Amino acid sequence: MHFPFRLSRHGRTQAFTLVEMLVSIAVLVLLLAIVFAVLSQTASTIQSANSESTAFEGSRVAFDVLSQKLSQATLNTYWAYDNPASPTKYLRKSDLDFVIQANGNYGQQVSFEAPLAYSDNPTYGQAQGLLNACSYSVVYGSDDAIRPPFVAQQRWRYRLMQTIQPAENLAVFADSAGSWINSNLLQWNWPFVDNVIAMILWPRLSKDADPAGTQISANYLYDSRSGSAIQVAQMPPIVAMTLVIVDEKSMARLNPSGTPPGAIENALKNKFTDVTMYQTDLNNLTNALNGARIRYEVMTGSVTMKESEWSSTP
Amino acid sequence: MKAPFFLSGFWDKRDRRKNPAFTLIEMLVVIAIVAILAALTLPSLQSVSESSELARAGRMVVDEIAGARQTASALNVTVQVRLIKMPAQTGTGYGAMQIWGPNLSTGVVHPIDRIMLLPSVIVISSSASLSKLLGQLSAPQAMLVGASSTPASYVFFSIRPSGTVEPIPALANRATLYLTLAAARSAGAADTPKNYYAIQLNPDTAIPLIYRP
Repeated sequence: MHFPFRLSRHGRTQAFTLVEMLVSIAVLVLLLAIVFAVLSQTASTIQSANSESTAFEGSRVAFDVLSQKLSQATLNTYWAYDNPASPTKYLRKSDLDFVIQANGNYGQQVSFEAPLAYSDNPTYGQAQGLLNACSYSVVYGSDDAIRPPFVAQQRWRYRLMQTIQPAENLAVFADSAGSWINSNLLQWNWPFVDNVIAMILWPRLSKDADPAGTQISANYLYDSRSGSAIQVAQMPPIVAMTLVIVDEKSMARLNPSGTPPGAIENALKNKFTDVTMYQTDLNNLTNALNGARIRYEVMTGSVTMKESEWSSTP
Repeated sequence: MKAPFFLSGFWDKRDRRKNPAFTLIEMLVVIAIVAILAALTLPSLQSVSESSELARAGRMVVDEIAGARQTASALNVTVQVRLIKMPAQTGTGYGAMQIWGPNLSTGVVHPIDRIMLLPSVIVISSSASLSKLLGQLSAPQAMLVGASSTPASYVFFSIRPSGTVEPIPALANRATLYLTLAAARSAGAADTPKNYYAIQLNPDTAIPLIYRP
């Protein structure tokens, strides 16, 4: 083998000079850098595709479980005299509650009773059909009560909180005013799913019977105890549920602390108080989230209340 | 200026003209320097690779739990998630997982998927403070794995079709459903490892929350 270039200049074989070595190393490094850039680009594309598919995986499960639990709500309606001493007519009555209340900027919260058979006592836990008082609401807060003690980093997040009062603590019948809903249920509060920024609950009739969805409630609110006459002692046949969920990466980027992140609070402000504005409110919300470069998912579904026997006469 | 002996090849012009190649000594010195640099950077490289293995292992465990939840909900059965200490595995912690579920007609539990082996440098820590979930599970049992005649030991928790995690923790212990993955070499240590991947299960939905330092 010959090295013609070198041979023609000097007439004898030569080794590489330092400069040649340096140039060749530089070329090598350049090539490696290009290959590495391509590789890391591919890896990050794969990763972002992966995280896109898994980011809202948990929320889908939560949506299903929540729908399932909400659909089991019961009122156990019965007919009773309007005035037991001198009755004039029968009235629809219930000792239980189904209440949808406003929850600040975060849509609505719901309180109801369902036979979930949840108890903190293992013996009671065997009994089927035990009644539990439940409530779901979106809350912004830290994870101090939740995270493992060795984790130093505090996480402030929006969370959909679940409250299920154990059957042995059931306070529904403590008074007739149903004050259990607003009383201190916090000790049974537990996060259901993280990063839900709004839960919108719209009690309504089916789309055929009620295209505008205003017949049961025009402002999303519902109260089976003291609401409008049509609401008393019965449950809506359908609750249209919407969850707005942001992804953990966006929240981690905002890295909020004691005060909720302004970008999200502004996006949520003054919305979901009028059912006829539902689509407009939702569009404005998603536009604002897009504008703040926050990734989100909107999940909607209709929960059919199994125990509802809707009657359009009060 | 007199050049050091090993640089004489390209320092000393006269020498260089005479014999422009690197000398053996120069090459040896270069190799020695490269070796020293490599030795210095190797430990940090190891921790980098360990950290990427940790993330991969964490993802595997999260996916396995999601698979168990889906199986439970699809088949409408309560499935077992087994944490397995393989016979070949040395040291503490659990290095494998498998989902078991009951046969729909006989009720006898059988494996639903293949054993998932974590990367060999990573284990699910069996430390009581790092993996508090283990404290709620019943005592380890033996199972045969593959063709090996030495039984592996395992513990398990279950996931109901609704996503509820069994054993259902008492109200005061709701926050204790967590497992921590860490490097196998630090799993025996009592204090919290520098790098970990903690997975906390929601008691009602089995949705994992992930904590990393």
